[in-house]
Amino acid sequence: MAVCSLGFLFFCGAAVIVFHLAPGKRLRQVILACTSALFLAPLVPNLRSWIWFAAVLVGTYLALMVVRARGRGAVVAAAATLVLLFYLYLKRYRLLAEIIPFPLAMDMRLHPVELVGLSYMIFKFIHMLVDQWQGQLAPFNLWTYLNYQLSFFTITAGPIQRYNDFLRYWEEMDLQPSDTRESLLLWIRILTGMIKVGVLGTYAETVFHSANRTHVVPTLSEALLCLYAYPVYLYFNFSGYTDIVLGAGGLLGFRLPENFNRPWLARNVLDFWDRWHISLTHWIRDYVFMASYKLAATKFPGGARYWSYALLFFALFVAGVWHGTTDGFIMFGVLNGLGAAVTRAYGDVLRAVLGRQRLHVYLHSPTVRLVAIVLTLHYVCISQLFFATDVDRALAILGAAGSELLYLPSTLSSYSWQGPAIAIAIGTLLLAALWKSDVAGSIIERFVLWIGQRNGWLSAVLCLQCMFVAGMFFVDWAFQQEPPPVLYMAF
Amino acid sequence: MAFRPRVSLQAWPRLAPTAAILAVAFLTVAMLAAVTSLLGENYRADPPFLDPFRAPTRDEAMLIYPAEYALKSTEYNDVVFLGDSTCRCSIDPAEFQQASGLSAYNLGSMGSLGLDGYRLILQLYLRNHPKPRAVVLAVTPDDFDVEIPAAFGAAPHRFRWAYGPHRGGSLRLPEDLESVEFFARRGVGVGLALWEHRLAERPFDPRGAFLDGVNKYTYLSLERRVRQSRGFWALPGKHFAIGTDAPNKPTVTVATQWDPGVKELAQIADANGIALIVRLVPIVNTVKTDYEPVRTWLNTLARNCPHLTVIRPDILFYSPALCWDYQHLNAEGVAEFSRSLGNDVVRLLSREAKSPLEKELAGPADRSRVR
Repeated sequence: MAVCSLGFLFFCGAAVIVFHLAPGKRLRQVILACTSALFLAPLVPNLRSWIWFAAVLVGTYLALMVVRARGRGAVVAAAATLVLLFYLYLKRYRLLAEIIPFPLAMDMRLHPVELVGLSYMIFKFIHMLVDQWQGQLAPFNLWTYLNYQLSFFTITAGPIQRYNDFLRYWEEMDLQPSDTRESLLLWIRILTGMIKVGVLGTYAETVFHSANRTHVVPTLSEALLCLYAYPVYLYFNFSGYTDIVLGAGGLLGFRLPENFNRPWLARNVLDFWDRWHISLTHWIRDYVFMASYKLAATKFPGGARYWSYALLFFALFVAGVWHGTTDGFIMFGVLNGLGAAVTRAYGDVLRAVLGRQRLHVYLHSPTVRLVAIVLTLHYVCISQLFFATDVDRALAILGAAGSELLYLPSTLSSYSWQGPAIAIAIGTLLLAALWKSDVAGSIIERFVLWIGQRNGWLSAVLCLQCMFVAGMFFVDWAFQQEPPPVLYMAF
Repeated sequence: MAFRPRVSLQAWPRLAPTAAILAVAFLTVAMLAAVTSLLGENYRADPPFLDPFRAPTRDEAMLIYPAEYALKSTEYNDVVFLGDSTCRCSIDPAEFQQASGLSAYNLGSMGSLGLDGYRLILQLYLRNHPKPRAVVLAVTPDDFDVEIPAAFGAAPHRFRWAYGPHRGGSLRLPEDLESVEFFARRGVGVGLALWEHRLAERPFDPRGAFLDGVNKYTYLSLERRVRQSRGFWALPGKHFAIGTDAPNKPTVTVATQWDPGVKELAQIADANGIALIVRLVPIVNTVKTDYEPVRTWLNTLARNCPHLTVIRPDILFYSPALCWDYQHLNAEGVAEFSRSLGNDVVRLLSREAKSPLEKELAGPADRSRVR
């Protein structure tokens, strides 16, 4: 079932009503399990996929049992490696298929297997495996494990909830008193997410595709549209999905981890990843970077700093490559890894050169902040261009933009100024808003807070939103448009 | 003991907003469906069959040209041809007139319309034109087994909605859920088009846009061309790219629409004092299909309907050299068939003038006319 659809809205509403009409904890757990199964059923296309699904769940559960019984590092490493190999096989990495003398790609084409949310299931499994080995995992059994892995609000594209958090809400089952205001806010969040995915994200995607005409050398405006429109699409699509599932989870008593925190205000690549897909970044920090850094720092204490650069590169590279199987995603990973390592190195140099007090002044300078934000924004946009297209096309777009910009002064003289004047005015306004983002942010926050404290206003907003969203889906249906897909469901 | 639901009070803050959301979403969709289906059902563009928000396809245009001619012209024709695409593409009224001396117009449309559609075209024609002397129903023998689709939105239903009898001035309601779906979709398109028309300096005219997938003709320019050739549409080149091989169905049975449909046509013709002639369009002689059920039905029909004439031999087989594909004719085939049809019609009409219309039951079909 598509998350951004009228079907999901009714599905979610029905689930909330049935769930809250049920009197006890056990019954609510059964209802939640059934809801997840109903959500999952249409997403698994064939019997072969169901069998693989069951094999993954049973296999990973058995691995957890072994680790619980034996608790050896070698078992953890073996289980994690096995699962990762299986993941790489199912992901159909083109490069691997070319290297390994085994007809991976052909086999997968002949016998397609679609395991929805496989990445996220594996993230959760490795987290449980490592935490169990370190003795930090809350008690689990097959029932809680299956529900943790398959809960409908996290299975398709996260966020990556930790097991201990899940278990806490699973045991509480929203039997604590709640207030109407909170429910209204959660529904507003769901509907906002649907508007983000269905209207804003779809529009940005349309703009990107209209500007990205393959086999044609892009003009400056097309190149710039490609550069900016795709990140906007990606943000609205994924943050919209996150809003929907966070709202749905909240209505069923599960507080899920946030995935976004104004990522376009990040002042460097590390900061960006701390604001974008936060649950994945934290997972990579805990289970890739910290684990490898601890190992490196223990074995080579003298070179720990340099190891941190290399491992940061590796961690962000992995985060990038995880997204896809083509050369564009490898480039995306390289750029992110490079950005993170350079950021850390630059920070170390600044600390050494400026000293603590001057570094503080430097970091709090509004000019430095603005420049850092604008630079990071463009670096991220460039890296996401490789995410959007293949390497050749991305380089063609960047090359065209670069050469057009070089000759800009001469071309401007023969330009009709109406369009660019509007663009410059909008750009100036955006820069001004960015410059005073704290002020703008606090005004918006105060306004939202003011409305949020009045249930009448909230209800009115919710009602309007609901009518808009229902109308949006109706128009989509009329034009026989499929519900917009969530891009991260493909990862 | 009466059932008393036990809903915990603490669940109400979750239940009430959720129920309200579901109700608002449901009511919004229901209201939109009602408004758009009413708009879709009752908004008629010119021509009514076309959607006012998109360019028509070539098939849509070809489907309605005969109806538009029947509706908007008043000229006299001695003979009109009704039928499917094989009628439209295989009978040239100019050749026919040369052979017979009778003025004619080809009202051939598309097989997907079915007999209901042909009947509507004839009724429109009779309402707006002087009565012709004869109506020739010309269809391919190979498509008698095709059932007309029941779903609303399919060509015959949409055609009936566009050109069939309707209550002028009163608001029409969609008949069933299926048509609600169709008209709601149409209504959304119409609504958006009307909104854009309000804003645009030059509203979108589906007749002025290039046909969908055809960058050579607009609806209007193609209509002019079709009118110039009196409804006849010559297929390009000698043969279709895939050749003249027939699909070779084992047998062609007669679908349920044909018997009552042709009888109804015969009644209309009889009521207006017009001769109704059935002439099947030639098919390629390499075909291996068994047409016996069609022949049997034609014989029974001719016996039961005194005002209907079936031209014999009932099925003509032409050599591939005269065929564009297995059921449409090329220029040479068109000339041959149109002239022979002209002669047949003249013979029948002159006989009719002398005595009541006779049946031409000339024994079993043969391939004697194969060139």
